[in-house]
Amino acid sequence: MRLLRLAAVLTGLGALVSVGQARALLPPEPVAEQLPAEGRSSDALALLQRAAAVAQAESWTATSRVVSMVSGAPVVSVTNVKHGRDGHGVADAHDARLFSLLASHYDLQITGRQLCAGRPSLVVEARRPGGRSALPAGRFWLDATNGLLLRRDVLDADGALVRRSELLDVRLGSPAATLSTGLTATPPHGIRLDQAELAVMERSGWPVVRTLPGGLDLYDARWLPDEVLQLAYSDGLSTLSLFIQRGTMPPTAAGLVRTVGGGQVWESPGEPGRVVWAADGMTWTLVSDAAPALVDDVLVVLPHGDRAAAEEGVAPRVWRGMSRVGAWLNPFG
Amino acid sequence: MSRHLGVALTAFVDGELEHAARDQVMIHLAHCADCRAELALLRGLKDALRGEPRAPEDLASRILASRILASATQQGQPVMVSRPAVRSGLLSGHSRLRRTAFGLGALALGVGGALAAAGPPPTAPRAPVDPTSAGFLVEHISTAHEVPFAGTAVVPAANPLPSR
Repeated sequence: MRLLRLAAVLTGLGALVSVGQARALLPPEPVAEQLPAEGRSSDALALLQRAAAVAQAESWTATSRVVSMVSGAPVVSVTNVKHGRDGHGVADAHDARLFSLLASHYDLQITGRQLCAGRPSLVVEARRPGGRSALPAGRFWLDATNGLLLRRDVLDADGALVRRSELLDVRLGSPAATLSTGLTATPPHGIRLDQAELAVMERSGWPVVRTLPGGLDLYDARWLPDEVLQLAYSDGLSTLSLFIQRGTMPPTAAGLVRTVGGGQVWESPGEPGRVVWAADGMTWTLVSDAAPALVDDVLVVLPHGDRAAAEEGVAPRVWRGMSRVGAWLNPFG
Repeated sequence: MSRHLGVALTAFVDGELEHAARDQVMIHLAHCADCRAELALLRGLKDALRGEPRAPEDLASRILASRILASATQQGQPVMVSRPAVRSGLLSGHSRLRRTAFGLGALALGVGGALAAAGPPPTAPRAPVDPTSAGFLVEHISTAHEVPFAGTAVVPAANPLPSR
C-alpha cells in the first residue's frame, strides 16, 4: 500500500531511455557567470540550511530528474513531483540533519555563481578535508532568488558522478491545499527511537553501530513492524540504511552472490542498491545510494557468519549444560 | 501507583495473558522500576532454566508501552493494572519466591552433569525472514528524503556521464 501511495506521488514518468535520450535528458552544463572569491564555510552552510527552511515553508511543483550510476552505468529517472509545506512530499535531500552532517565531514565553500536550469544559482562545494587540492565530494546549486536547492551532485573519490538530482521547471507557491495526503509521500513508517531507547536496544543485544567507514554517522533509528531495527547513516552526501531482524535468510536468496568481510552476501544492484547477509542469528539488509567502494568498506566492518557458535568456550558450555539439566527438572518450564 | 503486578507478572512472563491484560501489564512496567526488576529476575531465571539466551523480545513492547503511558498521562487517563483471572489460584501468595527457590535448586542439581549435557552449541531455530522486502527500500527513501525512481533505464557503460 505504501508503495502504491508513493507511486501516486510520481505523476510523471520514468521512461526507458537510450544512450542518446539519456544524453538529451542531461542538462547542459551551467555556464559560469562569475567566480567570486571563495566563501566561508559558515556562509555555505547557511545557504544549505536556508534551503532546508525553504522546503519547510514553501510548496512547489517541479520536474525531478535523478541520474544514478548503477553497476557503472547511468540510470535516469524523470518524475513530476509535488512538494507541500512542512516537508511533506518529495524533495531530494532537503534535510537539515543531512546538511549538519555534511558540515561536520566536509569543507564547505561557495565557489561561484552559475546558471542551473536557467536560473541564477550559487554553487556550494563540499570538499574532502586535505587542502585546496582536495577533490570535491559533492556540489550543490542553490537558487539565488528563492534559496531552493535546485541540483545536487555526489561524486566518488575519483571525482566521478555517483548520483545527481535536480529540479526543473520549479513552480513555487503552488497551492498546498491541492496536495492532498494521497499525493504526498508518506513519512517513515517506523517508530523513531531516541538515544535512551537506542541504548536499551544496544544493552539488549541488538547491534547498534554508531559510525561506519567513510564518515557515515548514525543519524536516525527506527523500529519497524515485524521487529526490524532500521539504522540510518549519512555523511551528508550519501545515505545508507541497515535493516536488522532476527531470523534466518530464506533458503533461496535473490541477488548476486559474492564474498565480503569473510562472509557471503547477496547483492541486488539498483537505485538504491541492496545487500543481504546473515550474521549471529540475524539477517542484515543494507540499502544505500552510496558509491560501491564505500558500500564495500562498510560491509567489511560489519559482522558476518555466526561468531557466537565459533567462539563458545568452556564456561558458556558449563552454563548451558546446567541450564539444560535445570530445564529437565523444572515442572513449570 | 501503590499496587504492583503480583501474580500477573508471572502470567505475563509465561505469555498467558489476554491481549488487554498484557497491554495493562506493559503500561505498568513502563513506569514501575520494582516490577521491571522483578520481571528481569523472572525472565533471567526462566531463560536459564530453559537454556535459552536472553532475547529482547519485549523491547518493542516496552518502547510502545512507554509511549502509551506518556500519551495516557497527557490525557489524564488513569493507568490501572488488575490481576488477571488466568492463574488466579495457582501458586498464590508467594508464587515468585517458590519459583525462584525451586529454580535455584534445579540449577544446583544440574551442576554435576552440566558439561556432559551441554552438547554442541545451540542452533536455535529461527523462522526465515524476508530481507528483500520492498518496504525496506521505501523506508530508506523516506528516511533519507530521496526522490524515488519511478522508472529506470540503464545506459550502456561505454557512455559514462561527465562528473559535472
